[in-house]
Amino acid sequence: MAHKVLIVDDSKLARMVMASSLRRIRPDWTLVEATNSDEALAAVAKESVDIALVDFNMPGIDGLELLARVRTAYPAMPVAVVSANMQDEIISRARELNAAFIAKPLTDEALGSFLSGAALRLKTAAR
Amino acid sequence: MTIRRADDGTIHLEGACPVEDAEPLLQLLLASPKSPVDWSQCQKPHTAVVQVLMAAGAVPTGPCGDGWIAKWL
Amino acid sequence: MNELQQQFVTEARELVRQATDDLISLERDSTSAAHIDRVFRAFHTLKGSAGVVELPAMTLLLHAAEDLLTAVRGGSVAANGEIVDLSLACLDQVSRWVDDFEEAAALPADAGEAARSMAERLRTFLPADNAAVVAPAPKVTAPVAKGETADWVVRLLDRSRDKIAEHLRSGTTTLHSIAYEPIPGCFFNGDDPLELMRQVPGLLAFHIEPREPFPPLAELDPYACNLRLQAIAASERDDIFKIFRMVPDQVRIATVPESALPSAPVSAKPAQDASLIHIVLEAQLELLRVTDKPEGLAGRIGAARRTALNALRSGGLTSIADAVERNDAVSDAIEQALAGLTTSTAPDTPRTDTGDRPAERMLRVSEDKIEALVNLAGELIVAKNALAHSVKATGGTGDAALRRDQDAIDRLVIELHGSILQLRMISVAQVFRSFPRLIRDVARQLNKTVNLVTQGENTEADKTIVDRLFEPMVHLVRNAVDHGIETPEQRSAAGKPEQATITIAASRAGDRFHVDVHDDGRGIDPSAIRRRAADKQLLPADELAALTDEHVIDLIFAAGFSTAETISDVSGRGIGMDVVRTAVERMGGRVTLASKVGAGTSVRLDMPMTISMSRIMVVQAGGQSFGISMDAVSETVRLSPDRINRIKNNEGFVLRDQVVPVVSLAELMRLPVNPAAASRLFLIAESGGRTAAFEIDAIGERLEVVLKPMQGLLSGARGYAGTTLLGNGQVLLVLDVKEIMP
Repeated sequence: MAHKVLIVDDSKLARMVMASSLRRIRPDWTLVEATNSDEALAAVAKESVDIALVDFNMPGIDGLELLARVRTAYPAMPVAVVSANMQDEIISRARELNAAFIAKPLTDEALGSFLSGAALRLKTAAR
Repeated sequence: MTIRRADDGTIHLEGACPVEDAEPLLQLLLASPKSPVDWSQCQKPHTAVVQVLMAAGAVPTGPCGDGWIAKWL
Repeated sequence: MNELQQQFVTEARELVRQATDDLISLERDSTSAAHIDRVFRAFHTLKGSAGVVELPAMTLLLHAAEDLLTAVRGGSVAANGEIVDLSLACLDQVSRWVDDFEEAAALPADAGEAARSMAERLRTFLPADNAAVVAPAPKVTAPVAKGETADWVVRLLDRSRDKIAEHLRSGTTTLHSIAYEPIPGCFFNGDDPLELMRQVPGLLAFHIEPREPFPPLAELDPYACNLRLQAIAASERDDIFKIFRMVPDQVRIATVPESALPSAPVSAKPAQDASLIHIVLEAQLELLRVTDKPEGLAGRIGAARRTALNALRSGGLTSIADAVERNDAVSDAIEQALAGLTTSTAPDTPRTDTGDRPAERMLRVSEDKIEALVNLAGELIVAKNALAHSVKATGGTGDAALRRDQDAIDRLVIELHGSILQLRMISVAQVFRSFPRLIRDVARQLNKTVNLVTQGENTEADKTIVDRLFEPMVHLVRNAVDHGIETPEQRSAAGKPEQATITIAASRAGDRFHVDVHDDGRGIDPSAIRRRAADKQLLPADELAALTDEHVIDLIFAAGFSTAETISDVSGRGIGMDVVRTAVERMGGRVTLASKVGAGTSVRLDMPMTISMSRIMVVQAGGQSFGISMDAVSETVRLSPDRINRIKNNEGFVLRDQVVPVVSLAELMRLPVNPAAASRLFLIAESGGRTAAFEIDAIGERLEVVLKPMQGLLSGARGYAGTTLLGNGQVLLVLDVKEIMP
């Protein structure tokens, strides 16, 4: 089943990387891009986003804070923090939010694993 | 789908068996618990798939197509 | 370069610029959390971008810088000037590398070394305990005392006794035990526990078992992980931890105490390069694939098996070798061995290819192509002028159709030329961007505080002009900070704000392009200039005395003039405003200066929008035609001989209260001088702050021409700005007024 993935990152390069990886792995899925948390929240409210991939380091509301807000409205949405900050604190905060952590530089493998798990979660939840 | 049952009843695991293959594999094994399993063409089976095989007590015939799995499992 | 790499270059430059600005703001307000955050984020994003295009040296350097900024953000390191200096130096390096990368799609060979040494310098500023804050703290339990080794570790060690013994013979790496209990929901997060184990280097023993006994198959939840994975590996604990860094709460890594190890035999054998084994195995496969010579097949199979076994065993890969030996199908066995080799030795490299994406609706055209167009259009102008000449030569018989067509061609050529020149127009923003940094560095060196205001960054001018603008502007800005701006103490004593302001502004005025550099410093004192000019004997005393204050200030543009009381390493010695004037005049511009003692100084660079076309006036002297740039011509005057005064051997006249020396152009060009006529014609020219009257015989047309630099034998000749081809095919020498000024 095709899903809609929200990509949030203030770097266009990073979004390009995520988008092209996503297109390789799941060519039939659609994606929505946002350059900051405010745009992301607007996108989540407006479009039926299934999965969110969020950069940690963003101006204003950071990625974890954004996910915490998304979580209140969508407790079961598969979400991932994408970051080059390999800090325990960020990883454990992601874990508390039940969010996956994907390391930058992004690899097809890492993203592919997350998307498989996400698809599985969405499928299991639908039953 | 990288899990299939051949006409002779053997369950074949082929190619990369991703996480979502665990459930169909489980269904096949539930339907015929004694089916032989062939994973000689399998590459990088996901842990969930391996777990189903372990839970079913299935002993695949021949080494796994994945070198690492063949070596360590 | 692919699209990602291009985006990297664009984005990296923007991030460097942004980080530079923020660092400068941060220095001014070192407690501002917003600035620190912005700087940190820029460095962090840069680091990530460098990773995407796989530039390990840049990643390494930025990582060190990021660590330092993390400490600054955390408050354990103060954002002082030194830290800002170093961070800026780091950005300079990155900026150079981005240029290199754009040029060659790679970093220079010394990048790794440069990155390491700079990273080391950055790290010297880190507090000693900071490393623990920054790097993920590996959760490694202390080596357990003898007799306390976990049962499972003992079991695994025992089971893999041979392999471990073999390892102990060849390597010195400490053994670590890994206990990994994935959380039940881990599959939903995309975790694949076996995949992680697969990445552990130096794996010696591995075991997998259910954490709780499996329920009957019918009740099994296939997506709830109920496993425990255990392993022994001969690798550094940091390397192991890196693999499990996403699941630190689910894994325990411990050092295997030596006492628990099987006793180590003596002989040591270096582990062979896995890639070599790989090559050997692949060669064997290749050999076996040769099927057109069935006669020697059995022999080849035996040889291939033996070679493969030897290679594997010599590399210490006994278990793979054993598998090859057991398997009768040699090809399959070697293929499997290769697969095992690949998965256990080669880490997966991240892929960064772009895939298919629509290109942006922007064309990138190389400068060369634009240059070729500009040249063609220039020649078209010459052809247009030639056509006008030919039409005139028909005697003006009044062929209306010919006239009409010629007018149309004229108009189109001019339009085409204008449009093509537009392609070369770029904004000055790029040049202006360098100044916050420059001013900051110079001001810091001199203990002054200066705020920069920029205006009109989007003003466009020809690329050549914009490119050449930088150097004179650097001089002006340095001079402003060094000589113009007072020290904070002097400023407050004078009742001015301690922080000085320098304004750089670009604007358009008709077909001219203006850049103003203004400072609110002490201004230029005319009497000081007079003193210095007298000291340096720039002018005879009487002439100097006759100059108004305004003109005296202009003397700072004279060669060899320097107003600094002391020589500073900022403005240096001998590099004065004359350099600015020369540079600006070389591109057909003028420099003017206005200053008020105590209030500040303004310098205006008045330049053409483009230097591709020059407006010249054709004049006759000594029977020859010459071109003179209109930029230098202020007016032409016709005077009766009695208006001319002779002072010794020199002639001159008074024009609007100013004495203007007369120069005979014919004499200057060593041409026969025409006998004096009833009235004499002069062309008044200004350059370098001086005025002269060039005597000429006649004034010809005014033309828009493409000036070509002097070439061949004449390339060294002084006094000429270049040549241009006239419509009638004649080559016109265009004079460089500055050079022929008396």
